[in-house]
Amino acid sequence: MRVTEQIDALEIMGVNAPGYLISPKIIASMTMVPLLVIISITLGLTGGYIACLVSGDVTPADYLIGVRDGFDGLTVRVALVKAFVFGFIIASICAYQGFYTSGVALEVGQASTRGVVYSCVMILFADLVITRLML
Amino acid sequence: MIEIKDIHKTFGENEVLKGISANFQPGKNNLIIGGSGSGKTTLLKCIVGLHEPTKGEVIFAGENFTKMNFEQRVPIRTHIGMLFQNSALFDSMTVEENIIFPLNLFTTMSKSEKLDRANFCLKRVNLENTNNLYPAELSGGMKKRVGIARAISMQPKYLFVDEPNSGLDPKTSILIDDLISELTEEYQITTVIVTHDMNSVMGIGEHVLFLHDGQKWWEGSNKEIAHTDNKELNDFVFASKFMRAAKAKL
Repeated sequence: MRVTEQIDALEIMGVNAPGYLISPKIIASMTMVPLLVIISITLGLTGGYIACLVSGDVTPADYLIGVRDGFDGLTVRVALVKAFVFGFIIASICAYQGFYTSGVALEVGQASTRGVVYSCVMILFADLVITRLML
Repeated sequence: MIEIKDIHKTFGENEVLKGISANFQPGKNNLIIGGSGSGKTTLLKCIVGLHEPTKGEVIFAGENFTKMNFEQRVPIRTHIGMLFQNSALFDSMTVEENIIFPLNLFTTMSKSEKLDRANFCLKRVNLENTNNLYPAELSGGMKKRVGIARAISMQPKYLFVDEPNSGLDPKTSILIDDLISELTEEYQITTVIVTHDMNSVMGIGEHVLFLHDGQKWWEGSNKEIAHTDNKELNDFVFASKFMRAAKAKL
């Protein structure tokens, strides 16, 4: 959008372009990444149950007992907190890089790469901090 | 009226604009011309607030735009329409949605009123029945016309146009120039056009500002250009054999 002057067009109209373009992405990411984590946990548990049913190596009843016995609510809370923070990091860093990119198509690619690299580094750092604080 | 006073703009160590002053009158096509790198687009961006001038003032109808913060500028911005070099239409929106976009933000019009306004603007630029097309489905000339339709949707007092002829064939360029000129006269808009297209200069340049090396080098009308002895302006305007031959006939 920056390269094709669409952000300039928003600013000319008096729109707060960072608020208009970046805020929805951050809100969406902070909402949807935890939801994805919940879905993936559910699918993982369901997949394990189906594997037990199909293979017969472990009975479904034993599987359910195992799942309940090993359950620790704190790990779910940590997972959701991490998902929430990672969602913020991914959206804010990538949106910032995209918003302030300049030049032509080449710079858009470079901004994308920077967004991914900085997000990965910040996620590793945030992972360390949250783990140290909560576990 | 737009008044610019002693505009300077520096990027790092590079001083792009070196103290430009001018007045742009309503109902006139005010053209800013100059070679590549002369600072004309930077000047336009300083006027509309996309760049902050390092020094100097931009005054819209007596109000000092330069000293205002973002919120204070919003009422003036609602009177500004701008056509960008690449049209800058929102890719994810249809033609109609592009035109209605500023109306959604700044007016309390009903949905049907907004649709009527969009249809009126599209009719004004001769693009009826394109409401549901996306920018990717339009030609370069059509995109420019949709850009103009969006720019006039809020009935602006000021219209800024950046290189309206870039990437267009000569016939379409003339159509776009004529359309801008008609709208300027019809609605008494203060229009500022950045261009290096000599056909535009000679066709619609009622007030021409020639920039050279970041400074205002010459100011006058298209009728005066042929008779000026300003060397840099002559070198710029009459660079081609065709233009030199045309000048010789005058």
